[in-house]
Parts: sequence; structure tokens; C-alpha cells
Amino acid sequence: MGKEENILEVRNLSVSFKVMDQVSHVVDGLDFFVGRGQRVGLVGESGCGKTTTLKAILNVLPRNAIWEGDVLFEGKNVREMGREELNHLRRKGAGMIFQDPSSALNPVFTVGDQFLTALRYTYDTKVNKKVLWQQALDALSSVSLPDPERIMENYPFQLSGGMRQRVCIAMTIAAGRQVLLADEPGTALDVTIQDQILRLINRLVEEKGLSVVMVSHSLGVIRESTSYVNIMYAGTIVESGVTDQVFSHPKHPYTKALMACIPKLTGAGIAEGIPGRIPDYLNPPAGCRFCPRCPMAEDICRKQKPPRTEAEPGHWVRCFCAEGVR
Amino acid sequence: MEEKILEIKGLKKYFPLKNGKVVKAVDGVDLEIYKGETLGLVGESGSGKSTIAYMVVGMYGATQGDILFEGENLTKNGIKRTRKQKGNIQIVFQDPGSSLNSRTTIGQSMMLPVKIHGNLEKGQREERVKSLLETVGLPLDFKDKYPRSIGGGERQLVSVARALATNPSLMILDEPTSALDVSIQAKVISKLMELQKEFELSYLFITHDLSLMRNVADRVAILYLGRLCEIAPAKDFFEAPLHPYTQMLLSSIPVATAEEEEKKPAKILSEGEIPSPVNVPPGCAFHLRCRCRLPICSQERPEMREVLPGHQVCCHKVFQEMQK
Repeated sequence: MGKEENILEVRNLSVSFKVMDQVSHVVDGLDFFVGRGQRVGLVGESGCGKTTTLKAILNVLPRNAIWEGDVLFEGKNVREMGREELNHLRRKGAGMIFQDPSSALNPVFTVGDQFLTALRYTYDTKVNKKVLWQQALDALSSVSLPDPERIMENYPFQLSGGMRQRVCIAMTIAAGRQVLLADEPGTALDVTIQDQILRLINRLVEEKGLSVVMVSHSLGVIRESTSYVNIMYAGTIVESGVTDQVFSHPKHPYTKALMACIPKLTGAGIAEGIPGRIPDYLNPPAGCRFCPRCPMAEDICRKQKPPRTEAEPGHWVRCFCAEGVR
Repeated sequence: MEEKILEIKGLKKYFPLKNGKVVKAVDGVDLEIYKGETLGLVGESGSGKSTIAYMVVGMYGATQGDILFEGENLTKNGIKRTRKQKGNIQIVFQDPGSSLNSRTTIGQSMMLPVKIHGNLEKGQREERVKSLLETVGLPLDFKDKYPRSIGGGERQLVSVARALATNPSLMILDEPTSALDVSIQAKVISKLMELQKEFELSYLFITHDLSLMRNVADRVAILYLGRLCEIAPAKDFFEAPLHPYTQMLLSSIPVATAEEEEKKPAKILSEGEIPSPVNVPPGCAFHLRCRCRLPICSQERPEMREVLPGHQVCCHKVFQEMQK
């Protein structure tokens, strides 16, 4: 894919945090890109750096973060952006929705109040309240919320979880943002409601040409809602490729072990789990970060970081031992 | 048939609200659990899964109905139970971070049930705690650690060990792995299955994760707004579900492999949301979201009927089809 087509590119991103007088090395050399109108997934277990990556994209990392590498939004480096450009990125470029829609909304203001505040900041000049109100109503009906006028008057606690998540999505897309960063959008909801939300996001991608970065710990969600997937382990992308290809032929030992751990609807039983724990970020392994838990680990894995290798066309793996690499 | 360990008859729990309305959290549930089996209880949030669990352990009194444990009625004295009755039924909660006291060591946390239920001399209690830790496969030095210094999966195993301290015969597992990662979940589940065989435990397993349920339960019951929709052996429940709600729920699960996709019922687009348990619709509770509702569904509440061996369902549409 050519550079112009990628709306978002993350190149060799590393993020560390200063904690007391130690440094914890969380994200380690991340590479991925998102094309226009593409749905890209980031999957991994808790603590693997998924949310940190999203924060880096918006340049909202906490002060104690030290980061290297580049994040390019429409070809411009997020790290080198001035205040105005950053504001533009956050207002018009990329918006984030969170796992828990009830804590993302302020409980003491009505949906309308919050919506207008959010919209007002997306304009550089003062805009008539009526125009904003109409824009909010349109956004609410585009996420299939019935009776948008009533919802604007409501407080968040008067809405159900699914409705709150729809409100959050509406607030994000109302200003015409091009990239939606979805951080576990359905995890706090019931399966039937999660299904509705994922269908809504897919519809918006088709209708508005939105690009989506979908973050989830659920392989099922990622398989059903993305076209390209990056599997993360301990701050690195261990495997990436077209979603169907990665899910039908996983190559990295971590992906394989993870797939075996998921309870299947076919009832084939559950594997024993992956031995060990994710590494201590204060002192991560020098070589491959998965090698202390890997059944195939060899000497080289402990010493060197495996490079990103194309195991088969369009299917990349960071592993010395995976099939297609050797 | 095998021996019943727990029998729930016409169980109801209503919570009155200040404005005079009533939340019908559990509204007439009949259930049986047999010795040594795992009964799965599924349902969306707010369907009353946990309320049933809390009534069985005696944290809530029942508004109406009976809970019989090995034939003995537990509900006749409200929530008052004898020590033995309490020890027989134990519960493991969803979040081990908040169910373990963060200011006491794991050993101290586990000592309390051993002291109360163990019938042991002072010197033997320490040994008992150690042997419990060993049973769930945790190292013995965990006894002096605090909950925050161990992982989530290990904390949940500590909760399991603590529940085992009273030698229960029925364990209620209320979303035991929902807060854990899949790779950790797999470990905890396989340990639970191992313990079930070793101590001949019966499990009431509550979860909203249907894929997990497929792999742990012998029979599955599904709740909607405090009422049961369907009870069936796990295989039938997942491969030939009858109730439209079960079908909708199964078709909305996101799955990770193509084989599962094939096994899933054809996609039924889910519509609407679970109504508030304050205003349960008349007739069948599900009829507002149901794609095959009949005129009778909004008028008459269907009753639970056994339509196939061991397969009970509560739906007018199914009854009609079965009659043909």
C-alpha cells in the first residue's frame, strides 16, 4: 500500500514510563498502519500496551512517558506537531471511544450539554447553538438512536449501557473525524448489545469511509470486525496480517497458544493455558519477549530480538522459529 | 435419575422501590442440580443470575419459594442457617481483588473458615491451610503474601481454596473467570474441573460467556428477566436450541475460528435491549424482542414444559410446533 493511502502510520514506536527511579519499558518497537476506510485490529491480553499505543497516537501520554519512534497522521508526525496542529488532530482527525461508556460521560450534565461542549471545540470560530444542536441530533440518529431529542435532554444514568456507547460514538463522529480509535467498545456490554455496537461501527465504516483501530482482548470480536489484525504480546506486535489468514493459519507460538486457550463453541475442551506470566516491564527479556513462556524457544531467542519477517505474502511474524521463517 | 443435591421450587425475589414499584429480579424459577454435575446459568446482565446465587448461599432471603438442599428446606427460617448448612454451600465471586481482604495475608484470609468450620485443634489449623493451598496447586509460601502481590488467576485460586475449607458439596461459581485473561482463565477452569472430580463437587456455574459454558457445563439454563427460558443438556442447548432468545444469543457471539462460525445458528440480528425488571412486559417476557412472536405471547405467560427428554423450554411458538 502506498504512503498516501495510509491515514495513520506507526513506525518503530517505543514507550517507556519513569516509575520512581526505575524505567518500565512497555511498548517496544511497534509498526503498523491503517489505510483509509480500513478496520485494523490490535489484540492482546491485559497489560500488553494496547491502550498506551492508542494514547500515543493522540499524543496524550502521561508526563512520565518517554517515547521513541514516529506516529504519522496523514503523513504528518504527531510528535512534531505544534499546539494548533495537535488540536486539529484531536478535534477533526482521530477520536477515541472507551470500554466503559458510563465513566466516559459526565454524570452531572445532560447528554445535550456534553455533546455541545464537545462539538463547540471542533470549530475554530463561534458557531450558533442551533446549528450545533442540529448537528448533534443528526449524529445521534446516524447511530440508530431512537428519539434523539429526548436523549439530548437525558442524563447518562437514564440511558442503558448500549445507548451510552452509541452516544459516545455519535460524539466522536459528529465532527467528521476520520479515524475512530475504539478501545474495547463492547467489552462492558452484553453479547447482543455488543453485536449491535460492532454492526454499527461496521456500517459507519461503509457509509462514511471511517477508518477504525479496534482494540480488544477478544479474538472473536477482532475476527468479526476487522480486515487486518496485529497480535500484541508484551508491547510488541508478534504477528500481523489479513485477519482471515492470521486466524486460519496462526504462525507465532503465542498466537497459537492463545487460540488454543479460548473456549470454543464446538466444545472441544480448553487447553491448559500458557505457563508463566507476562514479563516484568522493569526488566524485560533481552531477546524475544515471549521466549520465557515459549515451548519452541532456542538460544538465539534469548539473545536477539527477532526481526519482522514475511512468513508468507502479507503475513508478518516476529519469531525465529515459526514455520515459513526458517 | 441421579440424586438431586439442590432443588429450587418457584423461587421469587422482589425488591421494593421507594416509589412503590417492585423490581422483579427473580420471578418464579424452578431448577435442579444433580450430584457431581455442573449446571450452567447464563443470561444478560440484570437477568437475575447472581440474585439466584445469593439466595442459594443465603445472602438474600427469598420472597417466595423453596430451596431444598439434599431434601432439607433452607428457606423456612429466612436467611438463618445452621453452621453445617452454611458450610455445605460455598460461593466464589467474580472479582478476587475485592473478595479477599487486602489488609490480611492470604493465610489469615483462609484461616477464618478453617477456624469456624474446621473442627480442628489449634495446631492442626495451620496444616489445613497449607493442604488447601496445595490442593489448588499454589506454592505454600503464598500463605504469608498479600493479595496484591500475586496475579489475578492465583487470587481466584485462593478464593477457591478458601471456599473448599468448609468441605462443601455444592459450589457456586459466580463469573469466576470473567475478570481474567484467556490464558489465565484456561488454568483456573482446568483446576476447577480437576477439583470437581477429586471432591465430587456439584457446581452452579454462572457466566455470560457462552463459549466457556459450552466447555464446562453438563446442563445449561438460560435466564431472561428473572425467568427461565430453556434448560437443556449442554450439547442440545448449543446444537439445537429451541427458544428464540437462546438462538439470538448464540448467534451474536463473536467467534474466533471458522469451524465455530459454521456451528453457530444462522445470524439473527439482535434488536432492542433487555427491558427494566420494574416493567416486565405482560405475557412472555421476551416477546418484545422476539422475531417469531404470536398474538398469544403478549397475553399469556408460557410455562416451562419438557418437550424433549431433559430439554425444557418455555415458548408458545415451540409448543405449537411440537403439537403439529
